Amino acid sequence: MRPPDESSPTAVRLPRTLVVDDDPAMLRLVHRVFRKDLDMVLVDDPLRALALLEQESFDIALIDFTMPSLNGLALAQRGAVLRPAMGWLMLTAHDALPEVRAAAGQGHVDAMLAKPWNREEVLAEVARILQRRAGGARGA
Amino acid sequence: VSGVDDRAVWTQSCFVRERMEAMVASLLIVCIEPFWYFFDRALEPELALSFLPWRVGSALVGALCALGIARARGLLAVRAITLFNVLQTAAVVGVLTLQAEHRMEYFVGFSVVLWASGAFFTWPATWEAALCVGGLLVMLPAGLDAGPTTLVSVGAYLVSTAIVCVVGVGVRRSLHRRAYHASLALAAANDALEQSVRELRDAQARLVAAEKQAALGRMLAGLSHEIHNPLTIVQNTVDPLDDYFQTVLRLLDQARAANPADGALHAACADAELDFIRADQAEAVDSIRAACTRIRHIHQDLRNFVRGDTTALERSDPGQGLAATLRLFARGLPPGVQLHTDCPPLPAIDHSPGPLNQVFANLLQNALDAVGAEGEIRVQGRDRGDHLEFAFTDSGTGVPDAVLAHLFEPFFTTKGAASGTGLGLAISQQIAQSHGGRIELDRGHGPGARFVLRLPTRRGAAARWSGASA
Repeated sequence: MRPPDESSPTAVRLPRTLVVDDDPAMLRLVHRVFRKDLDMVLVDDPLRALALLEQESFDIALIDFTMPSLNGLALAQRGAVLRPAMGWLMLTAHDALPEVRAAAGQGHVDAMLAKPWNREEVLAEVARILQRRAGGARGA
Repeated sequence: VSGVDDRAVWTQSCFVRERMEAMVASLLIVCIEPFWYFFDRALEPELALSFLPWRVGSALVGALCALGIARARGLLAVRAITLFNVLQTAAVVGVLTLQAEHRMEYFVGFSVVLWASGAFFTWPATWEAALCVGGLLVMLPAGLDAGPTTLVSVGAYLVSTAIVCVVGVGVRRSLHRRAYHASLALAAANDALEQSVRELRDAQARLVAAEKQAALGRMLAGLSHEIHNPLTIVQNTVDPLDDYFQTVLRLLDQARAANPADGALHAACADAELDFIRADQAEAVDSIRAACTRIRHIHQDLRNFVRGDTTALERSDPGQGLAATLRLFARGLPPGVQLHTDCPPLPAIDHSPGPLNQVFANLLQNALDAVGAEGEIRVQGRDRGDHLEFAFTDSGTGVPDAVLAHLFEPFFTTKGAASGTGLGLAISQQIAQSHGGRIELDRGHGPGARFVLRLPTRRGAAARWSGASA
């Protein structure tokens, strides 16, 4: 699912963002809320998201944890192999699960936000991750 | 069964047996004695009538003795009355035998009756055997025709009688003792079995209740997760919708300003109550935001309450779980019930939040049940140094004395089958104990009830609660 191009007329480049969630309503919501802030590609299947990552690069991915074919943690681990420079932000209702906490702690994802999230905290987290990644790239 | 109890029960058992035996032996003699009249007529026809009053009189005394034995309360009384009865019967027979010519026949006949009436009983039979020997010794010098053959036959008869009596008594006593011990062992085994069944039933009920709690925890956790997505959507859609609406209104205002002469446009706006819509939409958006906030808080409390989805120990302030539990209950309180909470931040202790919140919920529910539609409940949390104390005080009628001893027993309930399983306090106590603490009823408090949960603060006091401990 790719939304119509709504890129801003200004020269500011929006972060290229891959959004993966098996719930179409959630994908539409993410698009509705962040359409002016992020340059998004919306995918409802993590396997298709991996296929897409082989062809295209993104600055950051917003991913769900619970998905039928591949959970968010496995997606982040495999995706990081394909695109090591990419940032990963997990939006999950399962922030209390030990494996999700462990994943965040071990750095498999850059950050984790518990649902119900709000626009400001997601944007702040995205900015933080991109800044850290940019800093890391410069330092490398 | 203790040794003391064992002896006491054995003595009582012997008393009951002896009394029954003595009574039956006495009654047998009473029944048989009048029939000696026919024996007298056959052997001593001229004396038979004069013997009859002796025999009837002795039978009547024997009947009174049987009555006395039946009413006797002690072993001594039973033995004294029986001995008296045997002696009075023997005395009468002795007196009559001395008057008769056929003394040998009378002696043998008497001893046969006496033996037959008592041989199958224990101690009357012993006395009777002794009496036979004594009677023979009395009668031999009194003129018994004692040729060697007679002496041998009488001797053989007496010895065999004595042997039968003594063996019968021994066998009987041994059987009685074995039956007694067997019945004791059976009773003990039965008690043990009943205890096992009771424990099994309790353990099963606790398991079922624990499983129910775990299922409720899973269900609430699932529900909590299911609320996340729709709540995220509603909460995050309000602002874009508001933006869309403002944009449309702004464009409409611009159109109206640009076309002051467009009567149709102005009429349509008036028909649609545009001014009311503009004023009301802000309130509508605010009310959706407020509703979202409320759902988020309820949801957060639910999450805190069911952190017990797992029973793992964590080190934190258990007062937080208490606060979440109280907030959940506070939403459904009857209008007449006031809930006062006084719980400052407490030191962190090792505990399983879910099961412990279940304890808070059980104690709170009991307090609510106690006050009914109107009353006051106070919940207090305190740091007492070596332990944390949580007190639940209600203004209900208190706990009756009859209930005190059973308060923490499984299945004990005063609420009726419809609303109480009788497991709430029992399981709560188990959870408290698994944390190294306990729940107690404050006996000094009145008129309502005050339950106090104490949890030790030292590390290592709490163990993971499995719900299956017996």
